Amino acid sequence: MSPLANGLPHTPALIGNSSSALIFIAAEEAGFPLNGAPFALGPQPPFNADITEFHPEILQLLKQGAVFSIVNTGARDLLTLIQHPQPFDFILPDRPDLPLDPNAQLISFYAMRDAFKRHLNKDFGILTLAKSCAAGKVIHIISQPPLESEEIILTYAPWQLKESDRISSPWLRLKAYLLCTSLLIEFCKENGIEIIYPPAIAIDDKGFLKTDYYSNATHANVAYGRLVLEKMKEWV
Amino acid sequence: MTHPYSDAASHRLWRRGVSAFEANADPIVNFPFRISPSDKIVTAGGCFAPLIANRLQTAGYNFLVTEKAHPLLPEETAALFNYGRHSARYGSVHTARQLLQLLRRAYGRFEPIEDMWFEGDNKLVDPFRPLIQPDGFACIEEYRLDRAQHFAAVREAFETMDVFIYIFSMTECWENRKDGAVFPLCPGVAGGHFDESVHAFRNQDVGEVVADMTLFLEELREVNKDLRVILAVSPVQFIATGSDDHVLCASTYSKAVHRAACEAITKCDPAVAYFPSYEIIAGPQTRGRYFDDDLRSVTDAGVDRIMDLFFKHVTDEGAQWAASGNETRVEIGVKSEQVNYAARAQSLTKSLCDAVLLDLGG
Repeated sequence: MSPLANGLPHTPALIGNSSSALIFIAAEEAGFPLNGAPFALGPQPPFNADITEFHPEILQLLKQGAVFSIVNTGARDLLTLIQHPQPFDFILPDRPDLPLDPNAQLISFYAMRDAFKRHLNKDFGILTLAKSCAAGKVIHIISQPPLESEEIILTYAPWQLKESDRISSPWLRLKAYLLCTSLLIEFCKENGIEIIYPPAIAIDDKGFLKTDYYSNATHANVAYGRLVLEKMKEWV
Repeated sequence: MTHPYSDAASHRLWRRGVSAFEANADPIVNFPFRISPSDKIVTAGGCFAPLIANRLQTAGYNFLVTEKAHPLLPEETAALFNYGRHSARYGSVHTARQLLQLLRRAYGRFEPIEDMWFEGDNKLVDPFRPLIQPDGFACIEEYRLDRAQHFAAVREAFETMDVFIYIFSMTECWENRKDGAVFPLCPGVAGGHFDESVHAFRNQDVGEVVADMTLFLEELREVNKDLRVILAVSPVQFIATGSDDHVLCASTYSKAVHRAACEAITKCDPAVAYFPSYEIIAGPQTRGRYFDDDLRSVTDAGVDRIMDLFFKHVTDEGAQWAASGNETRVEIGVKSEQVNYAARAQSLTKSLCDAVLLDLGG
């Protein structure tokens, strides 16, 4: 892997998966110095199997200054993007207003929470490692909410899907996002990691990502990256 | 001179039926029916029932689970939330009264006054299965919907099973003084608050157990008339007693009552059989060897011994079926569907990530 580094001291770093790409592009446009690289660029993840050591090149970058994280190994998309052949739903106790599919199998909130926690363990591990290695603050960027439109998502749903596959209801996807987000926030607060919330201007009244800010079915675009970059600047 | 004992079969004589065999004594004589691997088996009881269910399943028998974890849930989560321990998520059903109550509640014939227990702001406990969710339920709507789902699963289990195995656990229970609803655990132990003016201790006698079980069987047969039933008494001893008696005496009383109740019920009903799991473990022939260090739990070797005799006397094809490698015939379809779904979801999310990375020249 080839991390992006400007070699300047005290330069903040950004670690994360594909979602970090839009921020790197926005940073480059704005001339904002930012070290790092999306994890997914290299042939192997930049940490060992049990997430106890970063690759030396990454480690060097983390020791320069603040570390931003947009780590997101995609738990919510893996669990809720495509409608499961055995439809399920759950109630988010903090948002009783969100509709529930009466024909789906109900999974209790705490069971969903436990399942998501297990799926998020890798994200938690990376954040823990980053916190232990970083010279400055670690600031986690909460990823953007899902798109509401199933039609838009379907246009990006490629060959992997079967003809019978459907996209999960927007409400289930939103609930999964909110649950994942709450778990990440809880983890960050417990571990002294600062949080950048999604820019309010990019979110519609119902809580979905506005259509001005998507790049594909599960990713935001550079315009969204610019908004996040503005929030990042407040920490540097 | 001849008399009724002069040419008695060996099993009728302690010296030949027990002393001669010691721990290998086999107390089962002429079990009245057989079960086959295709028979749908439902189990209920205390903590001993899941051990039996697990062994039946492992041996390729059709342990019917009508309330399954959604395949999305990791196995660890499913286990934590008590999926698959019993045929439906009813938890421990210690007493015959609780069993009758479960049936009546599932069919809407009994609605207890004490319907839910609150613990702080974020925990709602089901008084009738207080340990089913480690942290209770998150809100009232979820609780009600989950319970409706649970009762549907109970009805499906009761209506579609071929064999029902009930393992009597305790005679002791705590009840609501107003409507007689019984709880599997004393209020206050794992939820709720104990209030002497509301809750009363009850220790069932033989007559009550027989009456409750007879009513249960009558009402069960209204929805499943060809059912075969196996009754057993759990050899697991009490952890504690709600009475003032010594716990050893209280535990012995409970086992004795249930043993007598089984005899009374099976004598009148040819479709109900008694399986002597209690005698296999707790009889003097074992010299206590099947009890764990706490002298109340049953060791794996004890469960093995029970199941060896169960397969020998109650099933015809158990060993052959298990040997044929068909143990997981029901689950295979579900698993492969789940694997395909997970693979498609993973492939889709990866391709969407790759598309974004292309913008960065990756």
